[in-house]
Amino acid sequence: MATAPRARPRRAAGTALLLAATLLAAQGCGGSGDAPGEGAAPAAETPRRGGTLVVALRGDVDSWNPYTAGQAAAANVLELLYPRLVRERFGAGEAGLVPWAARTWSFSPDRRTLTFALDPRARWSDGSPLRCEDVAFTLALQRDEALAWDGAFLKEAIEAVECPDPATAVFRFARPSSYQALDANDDALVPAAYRAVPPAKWAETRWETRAVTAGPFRIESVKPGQEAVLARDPQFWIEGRPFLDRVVFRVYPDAAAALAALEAGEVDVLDKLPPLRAKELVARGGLAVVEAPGLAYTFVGWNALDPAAYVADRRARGCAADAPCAESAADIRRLQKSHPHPVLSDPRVRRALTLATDREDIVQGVLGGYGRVGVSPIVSALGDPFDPSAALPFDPVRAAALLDEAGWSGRDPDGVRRRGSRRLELSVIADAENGARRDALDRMAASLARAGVRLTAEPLPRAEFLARARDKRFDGVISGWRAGSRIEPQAILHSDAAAGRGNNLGAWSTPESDALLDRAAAAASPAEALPLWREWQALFREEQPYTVLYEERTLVGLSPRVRGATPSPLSPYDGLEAWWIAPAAGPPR
Amino acid sequence: MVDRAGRGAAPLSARALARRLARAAATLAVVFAITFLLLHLAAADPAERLDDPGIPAEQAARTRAALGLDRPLGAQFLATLGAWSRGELGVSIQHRRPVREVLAEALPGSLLLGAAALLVAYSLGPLVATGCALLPPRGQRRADALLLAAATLPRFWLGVMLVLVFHTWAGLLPASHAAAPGAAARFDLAHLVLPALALALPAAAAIARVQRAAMDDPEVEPRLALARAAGVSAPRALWRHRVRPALAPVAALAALDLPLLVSGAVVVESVFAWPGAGRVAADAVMGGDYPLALAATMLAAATVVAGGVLLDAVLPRLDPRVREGR
Repeated sequence: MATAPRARPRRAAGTALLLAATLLAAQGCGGSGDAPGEGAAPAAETPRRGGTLVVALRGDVDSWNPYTAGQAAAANVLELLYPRLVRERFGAGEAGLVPWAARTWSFSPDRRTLTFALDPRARWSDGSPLRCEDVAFTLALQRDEALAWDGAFLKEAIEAVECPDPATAVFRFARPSSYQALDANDDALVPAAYRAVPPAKWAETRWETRAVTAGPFRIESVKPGQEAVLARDPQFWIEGRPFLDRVVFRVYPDAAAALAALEAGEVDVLDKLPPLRAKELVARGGLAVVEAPGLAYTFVGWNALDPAAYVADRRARGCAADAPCAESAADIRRLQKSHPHPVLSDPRVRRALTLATDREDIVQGVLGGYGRVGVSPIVSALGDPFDPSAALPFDPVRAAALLDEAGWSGRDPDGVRRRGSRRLELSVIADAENGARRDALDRMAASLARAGVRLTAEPLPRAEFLARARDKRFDGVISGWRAGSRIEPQAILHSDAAAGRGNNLGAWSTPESDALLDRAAAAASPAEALPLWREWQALFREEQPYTVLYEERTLVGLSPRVRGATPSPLSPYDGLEAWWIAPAAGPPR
Repeated sequence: MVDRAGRGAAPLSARALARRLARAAATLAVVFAITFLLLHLAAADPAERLDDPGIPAEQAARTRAALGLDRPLGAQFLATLGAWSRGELGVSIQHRRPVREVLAEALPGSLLLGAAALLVAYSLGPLVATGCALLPPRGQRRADALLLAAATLPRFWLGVMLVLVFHTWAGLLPASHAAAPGAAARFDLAHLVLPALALALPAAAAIARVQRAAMDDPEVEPRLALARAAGVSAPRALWRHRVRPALAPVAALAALDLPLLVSGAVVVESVFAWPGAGRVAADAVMGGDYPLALAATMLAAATVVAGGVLLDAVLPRLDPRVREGR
C-alpha cells in the first residue's frame, strides 16, 4: 500500500518572479527529506569551525573538470568546486531554487528571458571575480561538438546568454517552458580562463594541477586511485562557511571495506548504504543513518507487443540487429494492433498484476523499510506533480475479479489460471547482477502465485539483458530508472520513445497518453503542466504499463561526530559547507 | 647442446633466442585477437544506458559512433591493430584519458605491491620447505597438510582475516590505502604490509610445497651416492643433486607469478583499497572500457610470456635433467 506523500505547502503557481530567501535560511533548512537526519545538529549545539572530514568514495574522481569527468563518484565532489548559478532544493521546482553563484533571478513577463544577478563576492580560486563572461563561456562550451557534452540537448531552447554588465547574465529562450530555470542552471560553471585549452584537448588535460575553482573548498592534493584532499577556500563568499578545514575523499572500491571503515571510525561519511546493512547499523547504534528521498525507482515493465514481433518486424524492414534504423511511432502503433501481447495487452490484466503484488512486503524485505511503494514514474520526491491518488493498493480480491473479467477464470490443478488452452504464465527478464531486483521478483512471484499467476524470473547476463530489453523480447522486464529534476515520463512511455529500440521498452502507449505528455512537455510554466501531469497519472493508474514496485531512499551513514549533515536526492554532500564536527566526539583528525 | 660435465649450460644461441621470441610474439598476437573478440562479445556495451530516462536512446547511437563501435567488428579490430602498431593504445572510455596515462598512473602501486609480495613469498617459501625437511616424518605429514591448506586459502578471505587480527583487534597496522589520509607521501610501507602478506602467504605455502616435493625425489639418493663414489665432495654433490634441481620448479612458479608485478591481484587491491593496475583492469572489463581492458590484458600477457622466455633461459642452468631432455 502506498504511503502518503510528505506534506508540502502548495505554492502559488505561475510565479514569474522568484526572489530567493536569504542564503543562510536556505542553507539551514536542509531540505533533504522527510526524515530528519540523525546527523543533523541538535538545537543546543553551536556549529564549530575546524577539523577534517573523511568521506568514503566508491569510485575515483577521474578528472577535475566537470565536463570531462566520467566516473559517477566524481560528480558529487566536483559540485563542491564548480558552482552553479543557483542550487536546487529537490522536489520544489523553480520555487525551490536558492542562491549560489547568483544572488537573485527573475523572468521577464513573457518568460522569454531569465536574468541572473551574480553575487559580486563570488571569486574563482585564481582571485578573479565570477562574471557573466564565465556563464556565457560555459554555455558555449556545453554546445561545443568537440566536447560532446551529453547534456547538450538541455540547452536547445536557449538562444543566447547576454552580458549587459559583468555581474548580470541574461538567458534568452526561444520559447517558454516548465524547465527554463533548470535548463539555464545545468550544469557547473567553469571559468572563462579555461578557454586557453581547446575543448578537443580537455579530455587529455590533467585538470588537478590547473583547476580554477569557486566554492567552499579548493583542491589541496590529489593521489589518483587513493584520495583527494579539499581545503577550505578562504575566498568563499558566504561568510563564516565552510566550517570544516579539510575534506578527505578516500577511494574504497570494495563496498564491504568501505562499510568496515565507517564502522571502525576511519571514515565519517559513506553514501549508498545498502538498506539492509543500514538497518543493522541503526539497530546496533553508534552510527547515524541519514535518509533523503530517492530518485531511483524499480518497476516491472509489461510488454504491449508479442515478444517476437518487434525484432521480426525490424528484420522485415531490413534493419540490422542494433543499428539505427528508420523507424517511427507509427511502426509501433501498427504492431500494437497487428501483434498485441496475448496476455498483457489487456489493461485489466496489467492492473490485476499490480493489485495482486504485495509491494509493501517487497519494500520491507528488499529495502528493510528504507523505501516506499511506487506509484508511477512521477516519483514522490518530485513534490507537487506527484499524485498519491494514482496509487493502486494491494488488493488480491479486486485483482482476482479483474482476471475473471478478462477471461482468466479457469484454474489448473496447480492453481494457475487458464483462459481456454493458455495458462497465465509470464516470464520477467532481469539483470542477473542485480540481487535486490531478483529478490523483489521472487517476492512478486510469491504474491502473484496466490492470485493464480505463475511468474518466472529469467536472470540474464547484463549484455544479453540489455539487448533483450531493447528488442522487446520479454513478457516483463524488471529494471529501474533514476528520475531527474525534470518530469520525464515522455522519455519512457511516449510512443516516440518506443521506436528505434528506445526507452519505452514495453512499447505501451495510447493516443490519449501521448497527447497529455506532449502538452505537459510543451507547457509554458510548471503551473500549466501540473494538471496535465495529474491527468496523466490517473491514466497511468488505469493502464499500468509498469508495475512500479518501489522508490528507493538515499541512505548516508555518518559517524557520530558529524553534525549539520543534509544529504539530498541530488548529492550526499549537499550543503557540505554547513557540516561540522562535534568537538566532544574526538579530536579533529 | 648438452653439457654432460654439468659445469653450466650452453648459452642460448641467437637462433634459439629468435625462435623463442617469435613464438612469444605469436602468442601475444593470439592473445590480442582473443581478448579483443571476448571483450566485444562479453563486456557490457559502454554506450548503453538503462538507468537515466533523460538521456535519449539516440544518445547511445551517438556515443557508439563517437567511440567507433558502430563499425563492423572486423573493421574495429583492424583499426585497433593499426593504432597499436603505431604505438597508440587509444583513449580510455571510462577515464576519458589516454590508456597509456591511466596505466602508467596505476602501475607503480602494482609494482610495489607485487614486488613486496614476491619478495616475501620467495624468501619465506624455501625457508619453510627447509624447516619442514628437518621435522620427523609425522611432523612433515602435518606440515604438508597445513601447507596445502595455506596454499589454497582464498586471498580475499585471508585479507579480511589479516585486517581483523592486525588492524581491528591488535591495532598494529593500517587496513587500507597506500598512505594515511592527507599524508604527503604517496606510499607508506606500513600500509603495504597487510596487502603484501595477503598475496604472499598462499604463494609462500605453494612454493614450500613444490620445493619439498622436489627435494623428496627418490632418484636423488642414488645420484648422491654415485657422485660421492666418483669423488665429488659432499657439499658439491648435495648442491648439484638435491638443492639445485629442487630450485627448478620454484623458478617455474616464479615465472608464472611474474604478472603479479603488473596486474596486481584484483581482489586484494579492492579489499585493501590499494591503488593498482589490477583494479583498473577489473573496472575496465566490467565497464566495457575496451581500450583500457585490452591494454591491461596485453600487459599481463606480455609479462607471462616474458616469464616463459626467462624460464626457458634459466631452467637448464638449474636442472641438468632439463638440459638432458629428461
